[in-house]
Amino acid sequence: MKLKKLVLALLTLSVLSPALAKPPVVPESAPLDIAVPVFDVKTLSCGIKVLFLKNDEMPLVSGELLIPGGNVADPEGKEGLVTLMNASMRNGGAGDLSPEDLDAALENKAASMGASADTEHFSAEFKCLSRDLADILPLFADMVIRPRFDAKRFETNKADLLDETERVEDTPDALTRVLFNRALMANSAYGRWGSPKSVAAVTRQDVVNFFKSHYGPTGAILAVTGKFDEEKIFQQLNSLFADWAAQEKPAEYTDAKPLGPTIYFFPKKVGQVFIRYGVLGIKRHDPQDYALSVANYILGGSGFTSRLMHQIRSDRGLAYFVDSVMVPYNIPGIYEVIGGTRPDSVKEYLSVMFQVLNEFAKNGPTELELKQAQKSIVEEFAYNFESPFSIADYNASLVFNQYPDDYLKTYRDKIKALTRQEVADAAKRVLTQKDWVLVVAGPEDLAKDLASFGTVHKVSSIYEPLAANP
Amino acid sequence: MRVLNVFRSILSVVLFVTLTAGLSAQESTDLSLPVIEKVLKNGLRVLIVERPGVPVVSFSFMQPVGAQDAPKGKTGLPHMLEHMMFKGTETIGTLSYAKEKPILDEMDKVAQEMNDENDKLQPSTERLKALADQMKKLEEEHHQVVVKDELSAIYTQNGGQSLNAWTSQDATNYTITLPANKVNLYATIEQDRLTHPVFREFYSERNVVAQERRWRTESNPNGKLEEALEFTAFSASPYKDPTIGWMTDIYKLMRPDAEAFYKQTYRPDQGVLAIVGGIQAKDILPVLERTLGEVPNPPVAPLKKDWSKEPPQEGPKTVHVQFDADPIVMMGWHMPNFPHSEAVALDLLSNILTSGNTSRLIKDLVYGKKIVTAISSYTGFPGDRSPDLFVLSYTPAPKHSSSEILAAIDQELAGIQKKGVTQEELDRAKRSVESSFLWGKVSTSELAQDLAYNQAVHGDWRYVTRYLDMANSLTTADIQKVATQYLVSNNRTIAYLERAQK
Repeated sequence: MKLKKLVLALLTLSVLSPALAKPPVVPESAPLDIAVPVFDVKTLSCGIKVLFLKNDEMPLVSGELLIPGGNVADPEGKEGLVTLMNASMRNGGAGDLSPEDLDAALENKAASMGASADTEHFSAEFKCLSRDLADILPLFADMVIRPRFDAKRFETNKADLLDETERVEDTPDALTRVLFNRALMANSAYGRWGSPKSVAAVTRQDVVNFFKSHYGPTGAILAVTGKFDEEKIFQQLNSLFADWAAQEKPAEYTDAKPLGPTIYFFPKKVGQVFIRYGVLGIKRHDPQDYALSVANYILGGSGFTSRLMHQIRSDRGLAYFVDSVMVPYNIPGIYEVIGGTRPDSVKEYLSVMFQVLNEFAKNGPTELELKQAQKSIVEEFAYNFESPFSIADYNASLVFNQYPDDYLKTYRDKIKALTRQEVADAAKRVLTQKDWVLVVAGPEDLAKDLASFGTVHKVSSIYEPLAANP
Repeated sequence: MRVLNVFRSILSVVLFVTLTAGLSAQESTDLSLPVIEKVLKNGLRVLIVERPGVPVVSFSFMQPVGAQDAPKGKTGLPHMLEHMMFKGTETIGTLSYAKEKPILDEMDKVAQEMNDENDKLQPSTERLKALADQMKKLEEEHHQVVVKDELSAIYTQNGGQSLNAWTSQDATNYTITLPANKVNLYATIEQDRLTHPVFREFYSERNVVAQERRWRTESNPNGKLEEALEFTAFSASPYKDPTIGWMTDIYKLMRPDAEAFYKQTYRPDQGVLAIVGGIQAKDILPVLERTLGEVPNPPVAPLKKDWSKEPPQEGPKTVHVQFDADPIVMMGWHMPNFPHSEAVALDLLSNILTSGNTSRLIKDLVYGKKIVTAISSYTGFPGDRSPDLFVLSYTPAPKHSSSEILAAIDQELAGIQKKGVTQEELDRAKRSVESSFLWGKVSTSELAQDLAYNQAVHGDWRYVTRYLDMANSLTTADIQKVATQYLVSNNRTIAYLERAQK
């Protein structure tokens, strides 16, 4: 058999590959200059810091306003209020305009405007053609300062949000996200999540009161990007926002205490099991933030080349996707591994995942992995500058989150300076935490497979009180 | 609404398209799109947009071959091929192709024997087990000579972002964004990848694709419903089969089939490469000519894509999908595909029906009657190389019956069929189209894909801007006409997602 194979090999070689391809020689590339754009920073009389980035290439303007607060500001028992406030800010009319008039004023000019929130900030944004900017800014100021929260629109938006909340359990991705956040970010506002009950409890008056006390110019950043006359727009913004009063309630951010180490299992009849595993991550500006971001890149943050993807997808075909993310907050944030697999390979998927994590926590990256990751991260930095709009949004979030002024300038050098030991230490610090949380959604009979990894708590509603391990 | 469309020729390879939209009496907006076009010596068409000062460059390499072109019994093969294009070449991804090749060939044999056994009326489990063991051994052997994901690693280490690909019913696209100084790298790697691809790890990748299908379709209420709409609305058109393929086909796909399909369909003389970013055409064209221009066209006849045409639908169709989720509904009407001008009219109609709070169905069904919580529509489903569907999908509000919602939708449609749309509605829709065009140009990768798509699928990248022209020339009567002709119940398929009864 062996001999036969050898003969076959020789034959194929000589017949099919008379000349083996030569490896491609990749030429050296010329050095790349990245000009970090200069933002013109001006402060409005009400206190909003405005970052102007002019770019005349396209006849477009966008604006993004960031305000401290966010979904964590939801009052206890009324989670979902912030989401509802945002929906009805845009939909409920503003200033002198009824909801229908505001809709028409925007859509007749193909302009868009909206309010939304991230975990730790509110945001409001507009996009329009340059020629319409002077007409759109007053509408934007009205929405931000004088939303009407029209009662009828509010009730519709509330009914829609209620229905959406009830549908979260329909998709494994969404339902495990709620469960995971509730368990990992427990005992803080970060772990409170809107449920049908809490959304139902929100009244229009709650929203009006909340808006008055939480929405204002203190700590706010506005980025204006595109083609516009800066002096004119600055004057207009100054007068539009002149009488905006500061918010009464400062934003608060309290640390989480995870319920782990524990496993939550949500039985669901689906062909693909959804799996989230994680521990607490780090705060923004943590001294190890650069080191951990490189560690994450190597472990699961870099797609095909990451260790998790290699071991779980490429080597074993156990998943279509598996990746890891690190989300820093004003408090220690989230470190999470997300993936999915077939019901009959959950055990193998988890064994491999734990093996990869443990090995990485113990030994960190190899010298080669580190070199390659540093090179990649330094090279892909250019991607932030794809368009004036992309760099403006990125820079606004840096300024809002108080990153130092030279962050963009020094970023690549700081990545390059990291040592293997520093990256290994950061990985070890995060990955060896004892309070891990594992959340799985999949067919009923998986419970026994999961039991070999720890105590399994079966959950029948993602909003029910979660048991913690003793 | 007046639109000037000016073509100017500068050199033989440079074309500028300039449109000046005179919207109302305000200052006009420049809608120009300076594209430099060059056909390389092997027929590969290159489209370049220079963005001075931008430190990145986005590439979109598109072949006009998609899921609908799969051979019979091999649904999903074009998508599988897309996965295989990331597996490397004779020199990338391997320690020695000479050592590797016999193993790969042996795997093909075992896989074929497995297929043959499985095709028997009563397959032998013992035989299958033996073959599976044999395959496992070969995989272990192969593992020794493989360099995992080396192609991706080369790109990532050079700052590659969004290294990805997609397969649709109509086309296959490979994209990447790199630092602007890496055009040489791109051209060198792609020349190798197109000339000497090796579809290694084919049989383990089948499992990955099966996982993808479970994730996209079988665990996802929207995925399930889309698939049902496709196979119910279409009976002859190849659009009836899912892009990712049927699970029963995925597990039977063979490497030699992928190789044959590759040779037949991936041809430089039919492909398009669109490049947008901080590069200069005069610098990179010679590089592209030396590299990608050298990729040979295979000595086989190109695939003749003469697929079955969908006969006219003769009455309403309905399909019910059971799933552990609250109800959602998708409906589709057959329509002519772009660049038919009626397809553009249907786009504007879609905009008038469901784009923004001022649109008819959102105003009436969401805020007026409160019987749906969300509603949206679009054209070009599941592709637009062949006649396709105008899709309307909605989420019913709790306690509202599908017949009540359907009656309300039909009433709105009847209103348009009888009285047409207003000039104000049409103007708003046209502005919205113009604004989407401008915002679509902001991202280098989006623009590259848009150009490549229009060239590969519709035969001319100028449709990117010509589309605005076509939209602007339409009247309210045109909109009324397509509503009357196409959005009628005899031409409609409705797919309902319902919770399974226990």
